[in-house]
Amino acid sequence: MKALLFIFITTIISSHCSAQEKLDGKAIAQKAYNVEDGSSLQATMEMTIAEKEEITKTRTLLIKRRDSDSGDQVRIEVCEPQLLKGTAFLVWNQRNESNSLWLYLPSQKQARRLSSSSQYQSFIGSDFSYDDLTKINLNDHSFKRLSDQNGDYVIDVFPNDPHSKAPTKRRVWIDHNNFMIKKIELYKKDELIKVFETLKLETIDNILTITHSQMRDLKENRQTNLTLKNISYNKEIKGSSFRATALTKGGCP
Amino acid sequence: MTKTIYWKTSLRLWHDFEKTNDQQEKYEVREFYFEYRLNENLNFLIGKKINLWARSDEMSPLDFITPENYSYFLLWDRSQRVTGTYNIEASYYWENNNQVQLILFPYKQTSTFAPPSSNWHPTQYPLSWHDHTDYRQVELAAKYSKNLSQTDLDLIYFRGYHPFAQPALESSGFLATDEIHNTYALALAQAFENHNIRFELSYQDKGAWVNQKTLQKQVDKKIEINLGIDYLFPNDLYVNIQYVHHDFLQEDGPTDSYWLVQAQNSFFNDSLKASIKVGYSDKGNNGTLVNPQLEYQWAGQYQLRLGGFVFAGNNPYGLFSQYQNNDLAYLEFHYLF
Repeated sequence: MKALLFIFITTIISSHCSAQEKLDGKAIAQKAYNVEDGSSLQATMEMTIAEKEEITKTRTLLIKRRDSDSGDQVRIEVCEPQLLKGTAFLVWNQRNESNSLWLYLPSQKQARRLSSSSQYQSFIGSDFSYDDLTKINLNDHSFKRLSDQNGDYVIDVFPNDPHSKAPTKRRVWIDHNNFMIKKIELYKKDELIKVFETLKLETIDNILTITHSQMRDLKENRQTNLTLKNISYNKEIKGSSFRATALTKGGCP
Repeated sequence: MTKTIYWKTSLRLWHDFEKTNDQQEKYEVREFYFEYRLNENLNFLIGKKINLWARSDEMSPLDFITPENYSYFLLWDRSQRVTGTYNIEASYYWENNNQVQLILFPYKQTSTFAPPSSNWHPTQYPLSWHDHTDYRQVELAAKYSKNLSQTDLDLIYFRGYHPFAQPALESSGFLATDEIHNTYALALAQAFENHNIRFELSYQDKGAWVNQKTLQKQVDKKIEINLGIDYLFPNDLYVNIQYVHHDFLQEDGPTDSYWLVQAQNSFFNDSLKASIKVGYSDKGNNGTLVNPQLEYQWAGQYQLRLGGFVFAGNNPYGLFSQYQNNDLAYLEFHYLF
């Protein structure tokens, strides 16, 4: 069971796929998942939220991710502004089970588990939901390949559960050469509600990394930009950072 | 060199315009502790720290190790009511999802109530309270926590005593008696598609209470149950329902229960939050509480809250109805730096 990592998806620049025409939608998604993203990642993320192209809010986040025996684990902690400092989000992406999510609010002093539908809520007031920052489970989705556009694979991704609160459809553009995600359109009942776009790719530690991305909320006429800085791959990150019981221990400088 | 020692402090200053209590603290060190992380699996902590073990909200049976300031009853939410205790603490983690926490409390630390002269003095306590304090103390607390796929589980043990003020009617004094009690508790939090369920069950082998007829202390076994459900609607409306039940296992022992229902929604990119909390107590203590609130945040550092409390009911001893003459509106400004 594999998943797509929308935001932090990275890859070593790979050789051109000679059999691209034979790939079906799931195979393309699988390849996008299989791109190299290191055994761990630590980075600072700057988030700017803009309404009508005027920046209204900025956030600084600390992101840690590591591979685990059962999948991978991601922790995102708010370092600024002060009002949100210490707010932390933890997800365990598990290959054979549903994802486990916890949210720690400093005022409550205890990590609280999020229900599955909570992950589609806005993450700290941005245009990204918790779900946008985590992986989707490929086995919980079906895929349909569409005609290629401008040298990109285009696939539609549908949740298998008709009662899911997830977007009813994601249309994903994936680069032919390196299987990096270039664009995602998110639909609710055939209405396009949000658009994710990769704005900048950089090679860091031999790993191709999306360092600048954007999510636009078309209904609210807002957008959130994410910029990754101070990126380091494959360095040991202690497992204690990824314990739900230890989210109280902040990692911001 | 690896960073292994951490410290934290949290202070609070406030001015009580209502003069609810002349002796009320106007400043408070809520937390001040040092933590030594020996390695990834073993941490030690010493100092004053807030420990919130409840999986559910409001008056959880798992949270009485943490003193609360009840001078204003529920006017401060729990995160504001609680204050730290002097702890010596050790935590051991293994396999990424197991934790054992052991805390010793070397000093007496108690919750605070409003004095009899205050409108917020609880009528359930018919006489003055020595130091206006709580009735149970914990000297040892241990917790085992495990995070399963969609379930969080806690098994808890408390050992404590009742420095209970024996009412001495012929004088204004009190005769403290120490009754050692043991408490065994279980807490579960289970996540579902649209909601979470939180359940807490606590059994105390010696619970103490005041008999309203004789004004004498009674000691008996006690069970407390706290059941909470969080539900998130598709339009992001959040609803939290809490049911709290206390039962002394004695024929004439008091039994009380109450409901708290809270609904909240956010607007304008989470800048504005509107909420309403409704409490209802039954079992002869009929009464209600209504608390609407608007909260506005801006610039990442400022919060403004506007709200009110309305109490209703005729029972002078009811959890909510005893404050029927204390209706109020409030305006709060918070600045974080």
